[in-house]
Amino acid sequence: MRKRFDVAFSQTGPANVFAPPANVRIIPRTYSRVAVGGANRAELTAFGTLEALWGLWSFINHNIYIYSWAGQIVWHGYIEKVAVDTSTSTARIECKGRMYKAGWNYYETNRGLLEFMDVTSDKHNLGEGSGITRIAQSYQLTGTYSTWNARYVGIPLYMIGTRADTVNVEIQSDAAGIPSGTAITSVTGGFSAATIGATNGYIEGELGADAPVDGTLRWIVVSYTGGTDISNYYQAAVNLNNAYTGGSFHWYNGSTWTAGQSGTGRACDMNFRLISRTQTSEQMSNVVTDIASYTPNTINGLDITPASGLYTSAYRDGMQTHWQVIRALCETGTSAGVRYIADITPNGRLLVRQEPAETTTWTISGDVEIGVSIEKMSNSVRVLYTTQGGEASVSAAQTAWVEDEFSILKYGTKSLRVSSIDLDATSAASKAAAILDMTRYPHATVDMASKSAVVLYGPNGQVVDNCTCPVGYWARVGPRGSVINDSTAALSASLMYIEGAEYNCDSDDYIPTPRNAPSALDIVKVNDG
Amino acid sequence: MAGDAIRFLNPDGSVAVTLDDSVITEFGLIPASATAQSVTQRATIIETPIATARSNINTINALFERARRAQRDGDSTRIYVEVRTQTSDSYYRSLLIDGNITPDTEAFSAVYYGNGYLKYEISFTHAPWWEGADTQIAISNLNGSNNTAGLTIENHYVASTLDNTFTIAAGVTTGDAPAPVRLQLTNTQATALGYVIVGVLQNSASWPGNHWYQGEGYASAEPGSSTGSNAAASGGQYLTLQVPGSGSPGVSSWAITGTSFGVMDGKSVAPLMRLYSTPGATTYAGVGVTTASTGVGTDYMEVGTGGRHVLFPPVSWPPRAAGGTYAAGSFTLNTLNTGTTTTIAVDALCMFPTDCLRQYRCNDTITNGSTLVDDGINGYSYVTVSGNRTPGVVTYGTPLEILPGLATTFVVMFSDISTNAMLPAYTMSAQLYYRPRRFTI
Repeated sequence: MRKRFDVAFSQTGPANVFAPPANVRIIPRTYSRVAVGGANRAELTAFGTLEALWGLWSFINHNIYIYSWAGQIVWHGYIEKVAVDTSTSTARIECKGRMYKAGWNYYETNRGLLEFMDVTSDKHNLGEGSGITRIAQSYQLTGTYSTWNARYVGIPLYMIGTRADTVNVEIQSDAAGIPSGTAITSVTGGFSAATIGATNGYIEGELGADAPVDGTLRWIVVSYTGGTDISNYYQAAVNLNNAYTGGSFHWYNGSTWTAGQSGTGRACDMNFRLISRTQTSEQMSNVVTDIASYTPNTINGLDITPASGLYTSAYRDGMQTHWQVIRALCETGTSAGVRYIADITPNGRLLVRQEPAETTTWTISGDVEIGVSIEKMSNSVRVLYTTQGGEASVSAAQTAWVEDEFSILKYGTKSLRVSSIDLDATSAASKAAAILDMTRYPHATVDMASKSAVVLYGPNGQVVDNCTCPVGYWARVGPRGSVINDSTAALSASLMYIEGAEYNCDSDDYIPTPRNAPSALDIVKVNDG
Repeated sequence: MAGDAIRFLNPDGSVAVTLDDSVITEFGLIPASATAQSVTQRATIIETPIATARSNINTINALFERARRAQRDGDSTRIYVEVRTQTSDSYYRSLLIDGNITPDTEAFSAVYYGNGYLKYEISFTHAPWWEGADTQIAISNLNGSNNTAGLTIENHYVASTLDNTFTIAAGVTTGDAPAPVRLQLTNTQATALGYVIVGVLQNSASWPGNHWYQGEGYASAEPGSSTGSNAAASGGQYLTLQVPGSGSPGVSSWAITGTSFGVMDGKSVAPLMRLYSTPGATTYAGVGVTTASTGVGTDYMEVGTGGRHVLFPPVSWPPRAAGGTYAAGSFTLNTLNTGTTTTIAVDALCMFPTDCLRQYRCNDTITNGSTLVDDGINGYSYVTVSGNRTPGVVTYGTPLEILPGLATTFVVMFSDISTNAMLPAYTMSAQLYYRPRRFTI
């Protein structure tokens, strides 16, 4: 039996809604939700005169709220399309959730990466017979920027001959245009000479503490622990075009800092890279802030719990939309190897929480056709990933295979390689664990779309109103309050994670979509390999 | 049928055409049904002179067309048909949906047309009910009994003195079908109001307001929480509830008597949390109802920095109906805060029954002396300001209706629109009307 729904529009939020025009009657038909993003799509039908229906075009891009019989907002998003059918004097209103609007713009931020990697064939000696004991490159942000903290520093550094000492890299403050001699922080332990290549080498290390990157001039100072040697020394890549506008190159002879290339005095710059180490949950906050500046009244704030505990570079090169970045960060999840799920509140706040554990289950009863499949199962997972950085400076790596031994014993090894971008080793390992957790057992194949009598019970057995269209929970198919005791090695096929759902307003049908069901909701295929 | 008559009304309620037993030769009234979307009636008419018959046919056909367009366009035009079964009866009306008129196969025969008569059949489709005259319902609460002049509704409940509910006594309303009501709420104080929520319980008995109002004077065990007193708080008290930071959920719960559970007997309530002050930071809250053996709860709802009240999704009260008397249980307020530890000032929680639950957001505010009219009988809502209707009222939720003969409780609260505050000082007066509805006349 059809329940009652009401519809309201707004240009801002639910506190400023207004009713549709009086001469138009609007009826919701279907709406859907997903675990990462909340409101997904909705379709409504409008009845009225053609003139009134054509007037609905003026509401395209307005926020729309669908209220249940109890006055709860059960779906909200924006009007994307109004298709008027003159033969029936109706209009089809197609709506999308706000996550789609958050995908309208590409996310680019230099917060997290500062580099001058215009590498040429020119090099500058360090530690050879002329007595250069230190070289340094100054840097600062210019133009419009957001301040951030660097946690990694990298430089193209090569070795001529053989050395057995250690190269130290420090971040120093500025003193009247030269390094102050006071280290803000340094690469812990330095770089052993054994790790420095002969040609085209690049060293990158983690700093002992965050180094501010802002409009203040600071220095990357490279030194070594051994003595000068005319045959065995280091070379750093420099660019003699003097193209870097944020700083300059200096060298030190043990008593005096001198600008420019040693010998010629030609102005130049040492190639370098500074990379941030920003907790992924903080990165999500930065993305949300950026969304608000591009598409107001879409996502206005972030509430996330717990903090991810994973740190990667916040730099984004503008190749992904805001929502793609948020979604990827959700799937990377937390240091506990659990992904995030996300919902957008009617007021536009992004609420991000860890996916619930499978210990708390809901119950789906009714006319359900259920089976089991190992088609998309994987119990051995490896993530192939690239680190953050500019297009010319990313590096590729892969995690070890992450495996579930119980699942392998029972079903044999089923391997999955997933490719991803903008990760580091820790977050990639966490992502591999999260994917393994989601795919390590056979998944349920459930046909509820052709049925009409699905009843949903919450964790305590209470009947859940179908029109709330809940997603992001573990469920079993069975009678109310059923308890099926499974070991972790043999999870019942009836146990499923509800990744998405659609609600049919005409029939009051709730149609959940389990994870790994063959649909566009498949989390592995959206952004990853 | 002797004395039967059919009247077709103009949109303004005046009678356009009357067909009485002098022209109706056949009319078997088919009863309506609760499950039907509409009912179609047929009547055979033999009318003279022919010019009058043609004029009536034209008028009725025009009304049928207006009814069809009103259905299609959803505007405020409503065409009614009235029926009387005998002379001594009153007319009952129903909403006209569609209709047509067909000349009888013998219409142009010498017997009829030749003698100045026109024989035709009217077929009309109407809503599945018949309703009587517009009638005011006497309502009662702590401020008065069987009131029709305008019953004062306070914005909070204080035992024996202040009341945010009103009731209809059993046996007062008549008919045999659910009937929509016209609720008129007049602002009786200076602050303009912009949001009203009304919940209705249709039951075998009405219940005093203390069962709807929970958490008043409650002292939370949540560390860092305290109670405060202020005349601007509901009942003069509020709870400063500490919400732990960093995603650690906070839990506060208080006892619910078995008697309160018996009020609803397993029906749903929608808890509304009113806040004493605007939260300094966004937090989230969910509610639960538990007994010794089971519980129900809601997901977290945003407690935003711009609001002074949060309406939670309906929960069963108690979790499962058992009939008879109930053991005591508890009501739980769960909080979630992803930032640093903060507080929210919980004034009280009001449980809204959900047999009907209606909210009104009035973009044209209800100023002092203005009236919010939810005219469920005619299907629209508006605010009257100096006698003029301002239609900027957004309504959502189930329309208000009564079940004939049952005791019925209305729970009401309201806020201003500038701060969303539900201050205890706000008051309204209520009047209630309906048209008794019948499936059969």
